[in-house]
Amino acid sequence: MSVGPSLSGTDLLLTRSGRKLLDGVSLSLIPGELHVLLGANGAGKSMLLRVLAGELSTERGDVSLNGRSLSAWTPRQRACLRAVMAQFDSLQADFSVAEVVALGRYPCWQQHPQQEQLLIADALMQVDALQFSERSYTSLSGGERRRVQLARALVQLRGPLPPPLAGAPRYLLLDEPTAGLDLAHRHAGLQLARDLAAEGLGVLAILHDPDLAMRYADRVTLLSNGCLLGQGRPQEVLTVERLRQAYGVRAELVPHAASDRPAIIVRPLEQHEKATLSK
Amino acid sequence: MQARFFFDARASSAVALYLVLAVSLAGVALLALLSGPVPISLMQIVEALRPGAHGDAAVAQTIVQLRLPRVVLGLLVGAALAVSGATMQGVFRNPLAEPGLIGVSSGAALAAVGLIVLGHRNGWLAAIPPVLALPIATFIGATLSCALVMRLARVDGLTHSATLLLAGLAINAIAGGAIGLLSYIAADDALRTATYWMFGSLARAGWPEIAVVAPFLLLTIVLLPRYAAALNVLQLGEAEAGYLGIDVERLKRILMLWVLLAVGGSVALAGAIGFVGLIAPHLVRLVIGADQRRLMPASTLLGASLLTLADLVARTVAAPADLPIGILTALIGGPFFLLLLLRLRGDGSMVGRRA
Repeated sequence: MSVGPSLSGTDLLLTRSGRKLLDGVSLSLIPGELHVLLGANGAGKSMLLRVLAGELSTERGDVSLNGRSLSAWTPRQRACLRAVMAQFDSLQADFSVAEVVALGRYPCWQQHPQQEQLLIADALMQVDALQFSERSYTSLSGGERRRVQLARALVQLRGPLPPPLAGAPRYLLLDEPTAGLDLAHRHAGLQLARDLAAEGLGVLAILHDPDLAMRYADRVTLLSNGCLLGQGRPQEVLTVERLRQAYGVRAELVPHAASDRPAIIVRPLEQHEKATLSK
Repeated sequence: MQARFFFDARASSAVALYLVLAVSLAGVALLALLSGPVPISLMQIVEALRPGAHGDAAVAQTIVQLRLPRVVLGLLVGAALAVSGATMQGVFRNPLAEPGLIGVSSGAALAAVGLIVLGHRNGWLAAIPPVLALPIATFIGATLSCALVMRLARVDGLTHSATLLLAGLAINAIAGGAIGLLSYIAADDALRTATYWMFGSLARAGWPEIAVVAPFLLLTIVLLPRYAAALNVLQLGEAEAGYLGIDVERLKRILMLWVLLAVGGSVALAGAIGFVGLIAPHLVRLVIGADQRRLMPASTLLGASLLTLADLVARTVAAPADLPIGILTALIGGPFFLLLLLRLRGDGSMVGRRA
């Protein structure tokens, strides 16, 4: 699809117990872009992300990382080049916040301990979690945990790469990074994702709010029942008709005073409207 | 800069803990050498063991042939069980995992008792010297029970902790019943031996047995802590550990193999001894947190001290009788564990708390 380096899945088919979870989906995550993945519950967003991460293998289609098939990289090399923040976390052990973030450095080219700690502190500051860096992770609220997990994924992509990989573009895959975050942190998180993309990372984020995608995304992919419904610049993809198909809602695109992108206002469909949708 | 002090508090408490544990380990070992039906002083030992000395031959005999093997055994088995417990708690991401709770020890003990009670009736089995036959049998027993429990707990490729513990419970019950049945049909002397394996004892193994099994135990004690950093990452979850470049299935297989060697070897030498593998890592965690890189070495030291101390009590409290050590660890360890549970109930689960 693209000429330069990317994290790309092409014509992916993923079936589980006879159900097609992904069917003919392609996605190319390009360094320097914030790519937002949208779709209703069960549309296949998380599955696509986990396929791109190399966790799930598909029946058809291949995932390539910087021009090489994902399976040609060792797990360690993959971990140096892409970090994943999963939708749920199940950490129960008694670790401090700083210790959790430090776990993200496991696969990396380790530097002097002091530099490592600065890196960790820097990531914690970026997610506004430095002030509770020494608290127990398990004592945090859901939103605070998400921010710490984001920092943990962030440090994985920081610092120099080992020599054979030096200079290679890196990718950050975020499954619902804004879930459970308060209003301020939600926007701060997405602004951070934009900044990271500006630094050269390829950032993929699953979001639930098309309006946020419209605000922040360079590119969006809209999934519906495991199929591609639209892909491209948010203004082109997020139309009233596609939002209706994807979510079963009636959306209104309102011109935004401070932006060239419209705001999206949504109301649920009435019963009779749903009936026409299913026809 | 605040960053510099992130890990300092816990690192320094870990150093302090190592010091305390190392000193108490040396103290307990020395005390165990000196105590017994015949008290022996440190001077007597030095006199008797000095090369070319003319000390008391009986003292030298008692120390070298009776007390030293027990102390070495206590240290080795205690350390192996504790580090196995810490490893299993990490692998299963469950603080209740322990060789005794998931059926590994009882499977190994059943194999040992089976060999003792039935082995002499079988021609070629009886031909293998017991010094070799017992470790092999316990290892097979530990492997089979562990494989069974893991298989039962595995649903759709994921190991469910609750099912794991329940399956372990069932295996324990079955193995216990089978051991009971075997002791029912056993001859008197075999019955005494079987009792020792059920409750554990450091009195049976001498230097030859130790020589066969100790290399495996030492290897586990040295090698398992090398996986501490990977085990830390595994606490994030199996998928996350995969994202961080760890081959989780391979890691689990390797670690379980080492644990089976350690537990099989321990049971071959000293029978099924419960609670050490559960309590030692818990106590350490209370002081220095869950970081496996510090937890595993510290648990090893503490486990070695605890078991040596328990054996000292077992052979002196009702002297000249020699209580099975497993009875003692259960009688002391059980209530102690309950106390811990009660005290911690207030501020969350035993996993989620912090000093």
